[in-house]
Amino acid sequence: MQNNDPQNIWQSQNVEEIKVSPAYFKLKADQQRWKNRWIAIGNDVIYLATVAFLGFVFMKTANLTSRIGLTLLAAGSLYFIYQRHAHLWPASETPPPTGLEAYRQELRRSQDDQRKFWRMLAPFLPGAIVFVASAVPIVTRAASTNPAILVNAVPFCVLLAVWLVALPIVRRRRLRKIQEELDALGS
Amino acid sequence: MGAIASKVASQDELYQEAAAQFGPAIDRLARAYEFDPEKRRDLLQEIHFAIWRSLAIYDHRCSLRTWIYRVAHDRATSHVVRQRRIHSTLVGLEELDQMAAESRSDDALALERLTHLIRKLKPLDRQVIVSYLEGLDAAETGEITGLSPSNVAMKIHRIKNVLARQFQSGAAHAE
Repeated sequence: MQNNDPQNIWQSQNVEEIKVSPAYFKLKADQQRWKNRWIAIGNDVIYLATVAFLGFVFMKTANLTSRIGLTLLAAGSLYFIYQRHAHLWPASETPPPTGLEAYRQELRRSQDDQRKFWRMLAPFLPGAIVFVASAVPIVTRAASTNPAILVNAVPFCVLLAVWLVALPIVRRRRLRKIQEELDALGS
Repeated sequence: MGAIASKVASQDELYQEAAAQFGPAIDRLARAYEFDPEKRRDLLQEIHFAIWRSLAIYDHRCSLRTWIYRVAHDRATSHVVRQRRIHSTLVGLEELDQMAAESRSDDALALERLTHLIRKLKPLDRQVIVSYLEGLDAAETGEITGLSPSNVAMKIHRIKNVLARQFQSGAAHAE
């Protein structure tokens, strides 16, 4: 072996032979397809149950603001079910992209993952805000008779505030790096 | 029914042909993307599975070799990006020589040095260097990567320079 010829060095390395039959791949593909379908269906069921629960709470609540909050939450949940279903349902096979396109797609997927959190949260936010706002007078009344409720909530509120401040900073940094990489690819 | 059966048969036959012809190259490609032997075996199996699946829609518009390399690089790139290594330590070809120079005193074996250099690269540059090391020409590399011929030629020129410096120096160390 020529010690200084990289192509020779690379091509002469020992390789491991993989012995997997197409029959195994067929079985794996079937299993994967069924698994993905069941995950999608399971996801639909969980969120539909949530919508049903919100409906049940709606019937029990007399407060108009709470009812508006619950309706918005249910609408957000339905929108979320639709989005998740489309994302989880197994897609059909497409031709392999070129290396450049594959890399770009992966970076975009990575970018999407960073943004997904807020996109996932977004449909629930209006309903949650209205619902929490409707609960504020109740909590205020309870706190006026028992101030310990507010003191006990301090650690939770501090952690929540730190998390809410730190998370966007970390995500923004990651997103910036991905964007730089995408720009370098000329997208 | 008969058409489906023959399609499946041709998919299996094509896969077996591809595995026999390009199996060693696919294994080397997986080595360029994953260091850990256990994870590499998983990646290798994932690549073979992706190749088998993709052959159901292989339309002969490009050579089987180009198709196989595209699928394999696609899976491997996905593997690297999902592990988030891309945003931390990987470099482009431009910075590779500097990094290699820093590790020049390392007396690791030639293959280990080469593999070490490859794994430091970003996916697209890695695709080009692996294609070059596998002996593919610039046109095929362009077809696999989607880069323009001039871009591929420029990258290969850089790769050759880096490797020449590294391996001449490696040979000098060995003597």
